[in-house]
Amino acid sequence: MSDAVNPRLDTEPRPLVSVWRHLLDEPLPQGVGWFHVFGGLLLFFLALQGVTGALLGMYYSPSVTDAHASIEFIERDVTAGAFVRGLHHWGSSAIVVLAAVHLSQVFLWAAYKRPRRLLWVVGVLLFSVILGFGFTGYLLPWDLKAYFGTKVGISIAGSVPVIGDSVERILQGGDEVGPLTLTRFYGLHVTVLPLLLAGLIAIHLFLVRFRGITPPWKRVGEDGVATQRFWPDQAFRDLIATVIVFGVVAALAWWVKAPLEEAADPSNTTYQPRPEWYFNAPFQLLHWLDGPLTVVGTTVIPALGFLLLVLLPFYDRNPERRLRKRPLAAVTGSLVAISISMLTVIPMLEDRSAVAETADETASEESLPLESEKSSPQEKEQAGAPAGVRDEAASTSLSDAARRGEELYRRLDCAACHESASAGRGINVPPTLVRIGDRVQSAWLARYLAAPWRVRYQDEDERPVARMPDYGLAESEIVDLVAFLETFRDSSQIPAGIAGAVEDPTEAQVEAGRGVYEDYFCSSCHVLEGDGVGYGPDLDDVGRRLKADFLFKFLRDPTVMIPGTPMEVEVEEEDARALVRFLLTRKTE
Amino acid sequence: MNAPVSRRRLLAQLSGALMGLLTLAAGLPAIGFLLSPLRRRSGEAQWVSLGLLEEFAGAIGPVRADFDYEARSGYRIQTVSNSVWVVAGNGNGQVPRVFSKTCTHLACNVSWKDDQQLFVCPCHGGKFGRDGAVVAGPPPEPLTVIESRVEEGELQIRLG
Repeated sequence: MSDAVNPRLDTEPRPLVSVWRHLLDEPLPQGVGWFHVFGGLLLFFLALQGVTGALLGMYYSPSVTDAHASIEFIERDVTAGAFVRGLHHWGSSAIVVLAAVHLSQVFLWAAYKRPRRLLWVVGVLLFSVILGFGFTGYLLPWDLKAYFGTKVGISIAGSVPVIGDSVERILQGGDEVGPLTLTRFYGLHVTVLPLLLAGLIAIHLFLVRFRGITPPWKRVGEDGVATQRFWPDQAFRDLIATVIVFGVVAALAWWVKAPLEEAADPSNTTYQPRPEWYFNAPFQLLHWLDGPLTVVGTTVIPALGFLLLVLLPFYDRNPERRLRKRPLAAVTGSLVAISISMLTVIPMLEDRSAVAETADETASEESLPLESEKSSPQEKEQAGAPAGVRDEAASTSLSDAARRGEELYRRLDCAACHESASAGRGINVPPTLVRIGDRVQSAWLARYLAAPWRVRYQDEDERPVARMPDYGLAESEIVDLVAFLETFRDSSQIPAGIAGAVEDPTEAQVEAGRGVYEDYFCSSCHVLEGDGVGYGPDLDDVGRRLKADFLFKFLRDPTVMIPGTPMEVEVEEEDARALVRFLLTRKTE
Repeated sequence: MNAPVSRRRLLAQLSGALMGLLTLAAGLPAIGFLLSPLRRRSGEAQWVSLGLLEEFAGAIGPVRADFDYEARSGYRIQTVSNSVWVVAGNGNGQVPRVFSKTCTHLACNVSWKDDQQLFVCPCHGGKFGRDGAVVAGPPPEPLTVIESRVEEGELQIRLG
């Protein structure tokens, strides 16, 4: 932009140009710099959401029959459709992160104090609108995650005392989460919230410009000397930061893509609802605050937290901005930040080892698969099976065979028995398929699926809850199903090669393993070569059934690897290795 | 030219370039997204029955034939009702001719007027004879003939 005076300016008034110049020439105090890019970043990404949202709106259909299909169409058939949707998906996460940083920064520098108290209030309202976007947008793809996540979210709102029922009905638009909820959320997401957002942003920006940007670390009232202008000094920094963050979001959109599960199915009883990560904190809170305390988690803490946040500038009247002169604010702020971060991260970690975490709690209590229907959403979350069954990444990159296998898995409804909350927990119940891909050799699995026989630990006196039926699968179907089950892996728990050198053991090593087998009295529960007691699985053919890495890890830590297993012996590392060498040579003719 | 001004100019130019980069990065996919309908998918042709041939063969004037067919629109396959004009072969045993009801001017639907013995378009007064040829008005071309055949006594037309 040239600074040369335009000769026409003297003669002809050009109001738009002068307003624009006035805006861009905003004087900025000394010290404003790279740390002040977050507002601009947010503005960019909110605008980007507007653009990608408008594009998606051209194909998306807010009806329960078409919503999921229209998203699939965008993903598969529309030029750049998956990328645009990816930008919208990851952009929303980026906005929450950026908004959190922006807000923390304003808190840290006490920029919310006089004369910018209203600016803070508007900012907090903007943050709530952003979360509102996240909540309403989550339902729109109408996949399992959307449906069940929203159901839980709404029922949390419904647990508010007195008005809860009405709030629930208003959010749902009817008796249950259904077509009316979808159109309602869509309406909120694409008209009400954007208008609110635009209005609040306008006020926010006006106030920023009206009050000026807070110079860092000054007392209230000490506003610094302007040494630079917004254009191009700060604009340049904002843009560099924007390009970097946009690069990250675009890379995620391109390579990771936005998730899309199968279409919502209200009859599914085994799905474990998960909120979007930025709603983890309130969800996690509800894990710990249950029973009579639920109301604390659903109402008291959120309401109080919001009020304390909005009203912060009105009760914090300390004129200091430097952190060490604000010990109370510093300590409280850090505690809140640490708590929220922990509440957000814990469910992520739990997801990785969902099954392991809860094995002990539920091992003996549950016996029938159908009991999972009765449990509340929160309890279901604790029971934790399906979401932890497979690596996240695996589901997005299935081979064709595995994809067909997944379809078959769904059609035969394998999940009904093998992903129920009690699967694998206790006696005579169907095994869980958690990490089945790590656990069992595919050739064995194929043989088993062709003609299932009884393998599991059983109690003679008790009738089994269910038996694996022979589905009479065709050979190609078995190949597909095995390919799909092979994706049930968990490399974080069972990294390849963890068993070490166990292949092709020498005669002496096998004999050493046999010694360990005897030392640990394995035969008191297992039968091998006709010797032992058959409580546990027969080990005669174990060399063809289990994979080395799994067997090793299982011997080291059985209850974690197979939740609910009655085997509770933990074998020392070297012994485990010797046992694996020995057991893997056990093959029947 | 003094130093601050040239620094400002450099920053301004770099900023402009970065803005261009961002616009391009977000704009190109957006344009692709918007222009996606230009990519044609080769739809499979389908033969749709209009009914038994004998129902049309005896008619003197053109007969409107209604039919349903499966149409794919993006992710949705649905049954669409449509109609065509069937002009019988005057009892000479020929296969009737089938005309699209769409006026070749601006795509309004034409209808047969017995008193005028013409297809008349309600929009701009386009008129076509029973052979589909333009008789009057603005239509640039005769009515479109739709490919038809007779299979097992049924009159069928080709769609797509």
